[in-house]
Amino acid sequence: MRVVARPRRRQGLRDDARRRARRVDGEPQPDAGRDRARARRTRERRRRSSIGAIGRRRARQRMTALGQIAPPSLAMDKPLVIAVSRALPELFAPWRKQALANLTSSPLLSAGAAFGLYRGQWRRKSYALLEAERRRANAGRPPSSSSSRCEGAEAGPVGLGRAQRPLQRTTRSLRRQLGYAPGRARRRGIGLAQHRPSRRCRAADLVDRGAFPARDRGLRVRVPGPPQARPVGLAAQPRQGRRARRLRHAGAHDRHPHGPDARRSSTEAEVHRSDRDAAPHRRSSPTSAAGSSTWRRCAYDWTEQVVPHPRARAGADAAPRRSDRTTTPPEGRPSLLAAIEAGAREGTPWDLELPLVTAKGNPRWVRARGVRDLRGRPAGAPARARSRTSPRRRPTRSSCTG
Amino acid sequence: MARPARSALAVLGALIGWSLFKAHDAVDATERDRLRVQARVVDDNVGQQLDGMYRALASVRGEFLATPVYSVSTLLSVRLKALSDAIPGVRSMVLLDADGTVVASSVDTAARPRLLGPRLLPQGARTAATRETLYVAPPLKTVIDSYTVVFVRAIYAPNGAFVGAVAAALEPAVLQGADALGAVRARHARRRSATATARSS
Repeated sequence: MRVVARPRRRQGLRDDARRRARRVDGEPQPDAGRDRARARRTRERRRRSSIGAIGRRRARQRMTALGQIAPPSLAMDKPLVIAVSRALPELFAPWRKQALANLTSSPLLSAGAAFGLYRGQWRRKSYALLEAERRRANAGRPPSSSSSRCEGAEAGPVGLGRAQRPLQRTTRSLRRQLGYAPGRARRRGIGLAQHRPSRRCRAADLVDRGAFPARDRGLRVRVPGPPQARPVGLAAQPRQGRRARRLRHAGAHDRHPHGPDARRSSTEAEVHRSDRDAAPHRRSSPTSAAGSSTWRRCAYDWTEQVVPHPRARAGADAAPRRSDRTTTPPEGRPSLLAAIEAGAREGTPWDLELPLVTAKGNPRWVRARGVRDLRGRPAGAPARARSRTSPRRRPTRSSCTG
Repeated sequence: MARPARSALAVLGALIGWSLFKAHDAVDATERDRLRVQARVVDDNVGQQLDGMYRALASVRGEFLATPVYSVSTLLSVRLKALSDAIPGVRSMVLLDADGTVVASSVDTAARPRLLGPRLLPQGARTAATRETLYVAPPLKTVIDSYTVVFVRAIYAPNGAFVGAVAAALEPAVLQGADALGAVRARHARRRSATATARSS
């Protein structure tokens, strides 16, 4: 018995049988020539439409199993041939479905995998670029601590340091490289998982240990800011509260003064691991303090969450003191208050230069400007501090929400 | 596109193509095996029916020789009807004389054709060397628009003269039923036997 795939010729078989019957019966065949011509015309038409012919040929193809019955006991004059056949399109219909599924799903899965790999490589490269840029920025500075695993933890005083300025200039590109699209960062705060790895390990260690030595009090981490904000150096201070594992990060970010979130407090960027027992006045205090430059809404006072870096005050106690607050000298305070009141009442902007003494005791000239928002109300008092003692130092920005 | 990406795509395409090719082969092999099994089943089934039919034709042939001529039509018609009803797969049986005239039939007398000889009597039946030969006629299209295969055994007198033939037609449902048998094509056998004859000669 053998199986062959051959076109089925049922019509031809029928015609043969009819012709043979006519011939054997001796009937006249007046239409034989006409039938032959018609069959020839049909064949020509089918040959001309090649595509249709191919389709018909494929549709007619059948897989046939042939068998012969010719038992010796029956003494048959010719074997009886048995043909069992099935059409090829019918046979391979499940295979065609499977092939179609494979051809559609496999490229999609492969494209997804390739995109994931490419994205991972791209992020790794971005981190490498960031690290290289940070190292270039810190190249001129002496190493702060050789034993520290997280070099940025003791990078400098609270606020914008020299090491962070290049980062600040390139924050947009770095942020793009890091893959943070605008608006992706959570508005309520940024978790530790989004910190840079070097800082994250330090912070994680601190959290695990539950104790924060004095030299680690001023963690400086760089995180992406909330929407419409330029992420800059974030002064973060872990503190151990009443409960053993309590970590609090006070964050600062420099937002666009005319952005939709211009009036939003920087406390929204603060990261509180356990904030249930936080003092309410810390978030609602209208005049809280800022460090040297970047604290919004707290331009002239320290909050309890922000303390100067211990390296700035070597040997000092970690707890914030009232004497650490940046203060406005008495001679500049009335003019500032008058300008703020006038701006709040009439909506007029102001531009003042005020003396300022920082928490470190450094005198600064602060140029405070009252800015109006779109509705004409004063939106804040961005200030630019200039140091008398170190005039070559680049001025740092400060802002104060009115 | 980068070269590794192109290579990866090429490898992926090759893998997909190879898997599809293997799947096609597997489907082909499975279907071939299935058809082979079906053909074998049909072989066995039809072979048994042919054996029973062969014996029935032999008995009818013996009775025809033993029955007087004037009672052949009545006696053997009943006999043929009983046999065709009893043997599965046999649709009808007829008894022909030497001229091809229907002498007895299992079907109704009014419906049967009077002259079937030229169609049913095989060419070599009159001069057959062996008397036990079972002749397989080409497939016929019946009046009810279905194909059937007729098996004929020639009847010879004791002196060796050809006196008639007894024929049995297979039931079309047997040939095409249960999707097991697509067609019974004696044409293939004829072509095959003609080829074998040409080779042997």
